[in-house]
Amino acid sequence: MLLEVNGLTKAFAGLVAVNEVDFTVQKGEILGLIGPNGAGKTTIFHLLTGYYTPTAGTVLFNGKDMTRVTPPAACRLGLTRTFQIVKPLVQLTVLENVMVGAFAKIGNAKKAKELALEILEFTGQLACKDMLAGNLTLGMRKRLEVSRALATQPELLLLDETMAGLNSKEIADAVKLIMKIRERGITLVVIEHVMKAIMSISDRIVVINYGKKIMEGCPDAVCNDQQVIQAYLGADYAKR
Amino acid sequence: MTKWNDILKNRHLPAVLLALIALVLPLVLRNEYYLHLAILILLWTALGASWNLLGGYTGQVSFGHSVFFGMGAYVSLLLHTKLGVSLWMGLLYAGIAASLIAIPIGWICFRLRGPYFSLSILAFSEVLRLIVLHWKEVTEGAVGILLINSIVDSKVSFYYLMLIVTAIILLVVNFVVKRKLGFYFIAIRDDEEAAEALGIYTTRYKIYSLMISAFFTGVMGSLFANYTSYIDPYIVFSVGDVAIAMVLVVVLGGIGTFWGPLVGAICVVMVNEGSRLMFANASVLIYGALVVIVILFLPKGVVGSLKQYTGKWFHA
Ligand SMILES: Nc1ncnc2c1ncn2[C@@H]1O[C@H](COP(=O)(O)OP(=O)(O)OP(=O)(O)O)[C@@H](O)[C@H]1O
Ligand SMILES: [Mg+2]
Repeated sequence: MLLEVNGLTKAFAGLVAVNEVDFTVQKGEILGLIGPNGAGKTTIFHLLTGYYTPTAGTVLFNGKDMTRVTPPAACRLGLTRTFQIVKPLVQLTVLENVMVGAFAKIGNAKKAKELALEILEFTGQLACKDMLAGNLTLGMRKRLEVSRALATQPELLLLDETMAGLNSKEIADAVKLIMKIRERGITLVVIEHVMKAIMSISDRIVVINYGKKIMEGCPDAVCNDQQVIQAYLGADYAKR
Repeated sequence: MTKWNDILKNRHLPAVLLALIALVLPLVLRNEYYLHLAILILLWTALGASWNLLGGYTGQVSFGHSVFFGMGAYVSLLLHTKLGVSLWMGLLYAGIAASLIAIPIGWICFRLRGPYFSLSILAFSEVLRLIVLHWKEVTEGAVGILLINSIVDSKVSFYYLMLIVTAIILLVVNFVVKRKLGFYFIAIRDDEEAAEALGIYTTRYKIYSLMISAFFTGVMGSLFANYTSYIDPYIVFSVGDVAIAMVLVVVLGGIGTFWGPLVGAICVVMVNEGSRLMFANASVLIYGALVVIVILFLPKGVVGSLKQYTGKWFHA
């Protein structure tokens, strides 16, 4: 078991954002994490990578207790996340952004650059390597989050809505990229609102609503679950 | 012809030309006063470059670098006058001492962010000034320390010493910013949370940046002490004349740019001398006006604004 989450809870003043959530991630799989807006998905990523300290519960990564881990330590242990609200290093170029990620495991600038170039080729961003990250379109920024995280050579990659705001062609590319990342031997947990995409890439799906896990299963089972349709699709889809 | 084109297009050309000019300058400037101005420009370039590593590249604006400047000045002169340590070794010890006090200062101040960091480091400068002022048995207090024989005896030798040290500092800054350390500094400046997600222990790297910056500031404090041959706590721990002036040099020239400190140093020294000739002691007023002008018209400093127009002429 690569990741084991047990009774994970985060309470803010007056609000339990994550409430006794359990799930596991097997090596090599893609786990989808879905739920309506404000369900607590991003908070779970914050908890796994040390941006928040859990109020209760445990996280084991490769058997190692992660409940008190700091964000940089999580990354160096092989657990890297991206940000839903993208955080490009705006005064660096795309290549330099990815090099910063590469330096997590590589000390030498030349070797870091080699890895960064290889990653940019892999994610299809080589053409814009010399552009300032601050000048990229949203789609490119979302992808840069992924490239940069990949450069840290993670074992488990947490992607937070890397498809939000993309057009259908970009979404198709993003789906292909995620499948390629898995082929690279990297395990993924993917938060996504784009239903068709998340259903097509995930091996299993965990559904969160009001901080609680309400369902877990294969995409088909989740799609046909009455509780999910009511709580999630009912509430969220009705709005669109 | 193509050979000449290659030479002209080489991006090291400005640096090489500048170095050549700097090398022959004392042969041209026979006037002691002009040489003095050149020395001041070097002093402020080096101080600006040291400050820029932390403030410009790492994004941690310090209003209290006088703590390292004063530390360097006092350590080298005290070691020399009390223990007979050579002034040459004093330059090194000044840097080491400043770098060492940077560790606890950084450890405490980097818990605070933004303006709180900028100001808390200023408090340390004031505390150190008071200690030096009142610990008379060791530091001579307000009387200060007079240096009988300076590290070199002529102004021209002093100019070359200053030139070498300034060149070393610029080269080290240039070396650092192109490597992992520099990438990490800039990442911390651009987005601290993103930096952490990418495995950067941000507090640790801020302290590294502060230590390098403090080392060079300490060395420059020691060189300054040698140049004036006299120091007291009010001069070398001066928040206005040292700490804020360092900020001004960099902000004027272009924060986070390689040539910013040099351009800023030239501006500040010229303005300072000019205003002294014209308005006696109105330099504070002039500084204030300069800051307003820069903020209004050149928010990225001279080099930063030029860069916008000329593209890749100046490399960051
Ligand atoms: N630092 C915080 N302080 C207080 N409340 C917070 C904090 N961070 C998140 N919350 C709250 O916790 C709840 C869960 O937020 P979270 O960002 O995890 O949702 P999400 O599932 O990622 O939603 P979305 O799909 O919109 O991204 C929200 O109600 C949010 O307002
Ligand atoms: Mg979210």
